[in-house]
Amino acid sequence: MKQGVIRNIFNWVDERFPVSEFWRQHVSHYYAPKNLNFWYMFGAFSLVVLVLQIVTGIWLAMVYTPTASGAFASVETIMRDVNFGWLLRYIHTTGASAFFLVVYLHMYRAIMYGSYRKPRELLWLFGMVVYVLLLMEAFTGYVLPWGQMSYWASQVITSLFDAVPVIGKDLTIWLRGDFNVSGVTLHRCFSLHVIAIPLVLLAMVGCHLIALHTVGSNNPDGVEIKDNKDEKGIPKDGVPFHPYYTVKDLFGILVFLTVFFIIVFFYPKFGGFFLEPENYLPANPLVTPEHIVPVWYMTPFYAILRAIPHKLGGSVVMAAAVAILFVLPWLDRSPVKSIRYKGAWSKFFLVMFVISFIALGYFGIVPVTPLRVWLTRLFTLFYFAFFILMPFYTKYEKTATPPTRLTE
Amino acid sequence: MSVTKQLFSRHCEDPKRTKQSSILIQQFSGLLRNKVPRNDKQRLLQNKVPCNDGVIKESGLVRVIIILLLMSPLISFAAIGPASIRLERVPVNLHDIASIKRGAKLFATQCMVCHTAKYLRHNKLAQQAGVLYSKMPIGERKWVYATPPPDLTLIASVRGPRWLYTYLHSFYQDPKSPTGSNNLLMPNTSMPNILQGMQGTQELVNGLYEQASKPLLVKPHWYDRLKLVKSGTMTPEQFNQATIDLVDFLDYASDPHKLQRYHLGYWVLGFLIILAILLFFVYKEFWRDVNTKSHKDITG
Repeated sequence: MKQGVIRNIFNWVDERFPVSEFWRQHVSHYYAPKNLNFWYMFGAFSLVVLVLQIVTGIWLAMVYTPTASGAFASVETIMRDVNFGWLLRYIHTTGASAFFLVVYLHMYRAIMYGSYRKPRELLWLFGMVVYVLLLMEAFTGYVLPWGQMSYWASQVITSLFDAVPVIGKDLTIWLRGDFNVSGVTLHRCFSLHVIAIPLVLLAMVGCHLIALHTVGSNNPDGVEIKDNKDEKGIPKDGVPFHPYYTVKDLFGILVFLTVFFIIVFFYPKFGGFFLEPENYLPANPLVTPEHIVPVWYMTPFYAILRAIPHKLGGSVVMAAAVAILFVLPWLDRSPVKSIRYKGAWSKFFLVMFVISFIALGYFGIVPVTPLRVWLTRLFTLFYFAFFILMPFYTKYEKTATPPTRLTE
Repeated sequence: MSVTKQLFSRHCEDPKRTKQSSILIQQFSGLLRNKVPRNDKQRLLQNKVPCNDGVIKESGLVRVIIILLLMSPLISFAAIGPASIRLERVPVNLHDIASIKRGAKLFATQCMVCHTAKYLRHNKLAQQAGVLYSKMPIGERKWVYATPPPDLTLIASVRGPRWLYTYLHSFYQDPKSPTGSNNLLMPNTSMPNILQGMQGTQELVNGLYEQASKPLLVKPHWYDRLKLVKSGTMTPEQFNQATIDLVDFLDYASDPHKLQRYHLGYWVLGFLIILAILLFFVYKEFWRDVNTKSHKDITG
């Protein structure tokens, strides 16, 4: 009787809204390659973090005050006087760093296995837009506690627009809404952080997923499973997403959450990398901190900026370091997708790319010395060499022949 | 710790002059605690610098000039001043509520003469120990000759316990300074040595460190550089404990929910790990099909 009622309600909805069709198309009859390894879990992890950020963000915004006089104190109110406010905020701050960690690993996986190659160029582009939005979201969010680092980092970042020829000065004032970073800047960062950017971000994540489900997942072999279908049109090397990948991802998510909550509960400041000591001082326009350093996930680009002695030039090269990732699908001319079958040069440049990205991140954190500046320049060259030389080394190197079916 | 204590006792040479310095500290805290009219207070605070209250109030420019004038001898001193010193280890213990409370009491009677801890306004433990919002010197004085004393609620997050502990120990007498004292860790600090009454008087001994012939790259300890020439109201051991209490309290103040966070953390992690183990078996159970059954059985 009861089950009949629920079924009737479900049918009533299903006739008017495609619930079961959606489930069929995207979950129960969506086929994923059966050899996806742990690298493919980082996409799921980033979705989990996205949900965590939105949920904790809603509660934080209930108490947070986006004014220059009230912001710092309201954060302390959350940390001290709101029940479990400390938990919400530490999840949110750890979430910001975790987001970048999983997104970087997600992107690295795509680069490693050639997931940006045809037919997944648009999927890659949507992902890149999500990444840029994430950078903006992180920057505007970092301003909100209105500590010393919040203030001075935003002062440095917005002052980069000064370097734009002709309109630079006016552009900076327009961005800040004031002649200097001030309460006006803080208030608009809040608005962007909680409304504008998340809205676009969610839309872009939606597009990213729709594109993914249209072309299907790539895999470590870089072989199209849709090239080998059975008589029903199901890829022979595919398994239904549910239950196989739902249980696998769920297990992965639990492992991820365990690590995540070890940090939240026991090392929320993560030795000053997730929450910088300097940011526990309220913003003071009259006192410049000795070292102005962004949070770790932006330091590779900050290192590039610092290593170039020309302000406009530095800003352009820094922007190019992100922008060049957008054209990656059109730089790779290898006959194979995955690093498993690519040649020695591809492997060499990929390793150099990873080393230089980590090294740049390191040099973006430590204080500048002449030697470090030259090393930063060297690693900047290696970073760009990976992309700029890609059309040549991928085209002319010797590659192995990938199998026609998945190997595992 | 034992090395520190040895050095303490070695340096403690004159236990007779305790009274004098305790009177000094009483005078000092008394004059700041509204026992002296405000103008006198400022004059006393700046007794080495003749300046006029009225002038200062009228012009910000004059104030800047005075600050610069005040700083100029100090800057030249800094150039020849002692090298920075090592940060000492300090046993911070979250569970030692008694120590945190003792530290809070010390904070209320000594530090709160000048410093605030605003964000402890609703904190029960701090209130019980006398750290009351109503007693904090909020907007009480204008700090004309120096940077205003910072709010100390979050200082342990900014500096770290080791820094605080070392800072509290490394004050020494310096007649060139407007406050009469200086600090090894933070040269030219505008904080007067309020702990002198308890600790006694320390003097900078240049030869002491060099005599020990330490390797060049290792920074000296504060006790390699300073010598206790006059005892305070406390023995070195008592003073050491008092500073540990204070650091314990400040560490607590910077993150009062730390203990609660750890307790909750164990439960949450226990839950997550058990669930992860169960889900691992679910995952393995399902994926056995992929490895053993045919394509049709799986997709059918």
